[in-house]
Amino acid sequence: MDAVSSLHDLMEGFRVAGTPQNLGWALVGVTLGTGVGVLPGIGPAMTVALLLPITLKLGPVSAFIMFAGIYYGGMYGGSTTSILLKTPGESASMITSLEGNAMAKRGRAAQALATAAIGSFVAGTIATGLLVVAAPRVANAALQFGAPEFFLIVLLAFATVSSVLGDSRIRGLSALGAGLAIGLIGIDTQTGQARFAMGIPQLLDGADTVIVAVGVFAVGEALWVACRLRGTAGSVIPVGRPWMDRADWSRSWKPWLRGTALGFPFGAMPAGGAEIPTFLSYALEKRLSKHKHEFGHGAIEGVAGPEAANNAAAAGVLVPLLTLGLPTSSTAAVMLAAFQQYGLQPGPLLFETNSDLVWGLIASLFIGNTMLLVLNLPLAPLWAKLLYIPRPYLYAGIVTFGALGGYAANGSGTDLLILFSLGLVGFVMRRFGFPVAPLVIGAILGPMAEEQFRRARAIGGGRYSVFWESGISRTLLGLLAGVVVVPIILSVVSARRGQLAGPSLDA
Amino acid sequence: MAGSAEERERPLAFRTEHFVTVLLAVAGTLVLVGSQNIRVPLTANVVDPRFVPRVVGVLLLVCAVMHGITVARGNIGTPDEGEDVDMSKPADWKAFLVVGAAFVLHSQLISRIGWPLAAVVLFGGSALGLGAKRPLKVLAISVIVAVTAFVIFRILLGVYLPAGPVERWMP
Repeated sequence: MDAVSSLHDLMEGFRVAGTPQNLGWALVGVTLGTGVGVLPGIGPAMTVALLLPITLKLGPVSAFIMFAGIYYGGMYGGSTTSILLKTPGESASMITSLEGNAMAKRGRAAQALATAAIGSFVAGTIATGLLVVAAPRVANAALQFGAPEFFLIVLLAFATVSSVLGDSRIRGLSALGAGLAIGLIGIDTQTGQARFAMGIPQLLDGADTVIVAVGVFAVGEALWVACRLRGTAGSVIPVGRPWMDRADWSRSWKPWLRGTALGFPFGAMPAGGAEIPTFLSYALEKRLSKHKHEFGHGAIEGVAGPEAANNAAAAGVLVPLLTLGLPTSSTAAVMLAAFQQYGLQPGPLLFETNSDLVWGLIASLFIGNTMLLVLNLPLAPLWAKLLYIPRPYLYAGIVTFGALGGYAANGSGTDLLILFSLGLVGFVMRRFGFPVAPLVIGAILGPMAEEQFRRARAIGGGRYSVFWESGISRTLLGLLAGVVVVPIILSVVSARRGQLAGPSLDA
Repeated sequence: MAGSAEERERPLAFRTEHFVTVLLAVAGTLVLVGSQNIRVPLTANVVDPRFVPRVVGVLLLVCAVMHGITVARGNIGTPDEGEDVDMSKPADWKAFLVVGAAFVLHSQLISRIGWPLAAVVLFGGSALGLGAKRPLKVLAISVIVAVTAFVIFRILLGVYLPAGPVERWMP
């Protein structure tokens, strides 16, 4: 797999994505993605989950071209909300909502939106370019992975999502355990035995991943807000058309590039995610800035860097998703559900069997990114109007469209009751501060982990040594040990020092 | 982040946290008991279909114990914050119940009265439960939302949603 053939494949992708019809779907995708992503309380994962039913009847290629638009559009919309209303839809836009909102409060909302938008475009474009280079290589390498290696990679993803997300390891692990339990439901693929279906026919196929995602994200969020709704809606900072002057540009471009450099590799690692690079980027910009005193009160570097890191990581996350079938963020987990809806299994073979789909998707990431920049700079004031939707109608709408998605997948009322039960789980998790992403990832990757585990055991003829026979396995085991042990050591050390520096990973 | 000193002194939150400890323990027990009932065919491979469920069951029980200890030590989870979420007031369980009831009702009504009317029940019920003040306005918006969604999904996108009383006029 050399650079020339990647470029050739990408050109082929542009040919697929460039037909007037597919350009139309990309435009619909970015518009809907931004529109839904702007709605307060809706992060990118929920945006993709809520918009899944729209693609139900499309062909897979058009559907994924639209998803590319929804994916980037949802992130774009989320940063607008973070800046104008201080509601991070996901932990990766937490920094934007702190620093960006502080900028907006100082009357620099237009500049905050501009640096976020242009930074997202720059980072998204560079990182998608890196994806073009990296993905075929990783896919090629992954062809040599056997069941033991795949199993260890999934374990690595489990370890990172449950210890990195959320502020407590035990809560992350519990959420993961609950997700794994949900993943057990259904017919065992290897022996054909029904497990935990409780006599409900709809459960024999397993808990539908779309229903799990919509349940814990959308229904759970709506129930949670229902019992805690603030009497008066938060104050939206009014904004005109985003723009930046020369000084803003010169303060922004380096953070964009540094953010990209941090974001992509973290996203691309099978244990990455977007939270860490945004925190790192913020810390780095604060250290390098000549305007340190502005940090915390709205420094443009503190928006430019983390936003770029977030978008670059979003492109990076597609590397393990497309090449290994491994989602490392909740948004990626919902995207994986979308693939499964079409009977497609992302993984090293996807690049060979569905080359036009993969490259069409990647090409439309470039197209969608450009559309977002061209559309959203002038349209930002219009999107901001969505922030004024009265909350009762907003959350009623989230529930209704969540229910529509849960029903439309199979046309069954029982699915809606399952969806509601998962919504209750999501509610309890929000009430007691459990992260929901490990549950979604556990439910989706659990069956895959089990299948690879059993296959590996069969290959090894029952010996466990099959898990450390290859060099790749031993490297993965080393990484796994690092991911599990290092945070424990860090928390012990910082506890000894008495003061916790930075975001605590303590249990 | 570990609970602040103020949170640690709140005895009520301290107790309610153990609700999750119990839930985790119940889930773990159910998974372990349930795995006993999985039939193991003679053709089963090296790992039978009960192995992984047992691991998950044990994991949940371990989580329950550790969560119990964590909470007992005073580390309670921080409820999800958000601009629309107000933690200073007591929970509004009436709103929660109304939204929940509208949802369950909706799931049972779709096959009887069709999706659009069932969606009016869900959207309107939720909006009222969430504190929308003017019933007529709620009704009007619910009808607009339900009909628009129905037209987009059933007619434009071809996603099947039962039309209910107007089914025979559907193309």
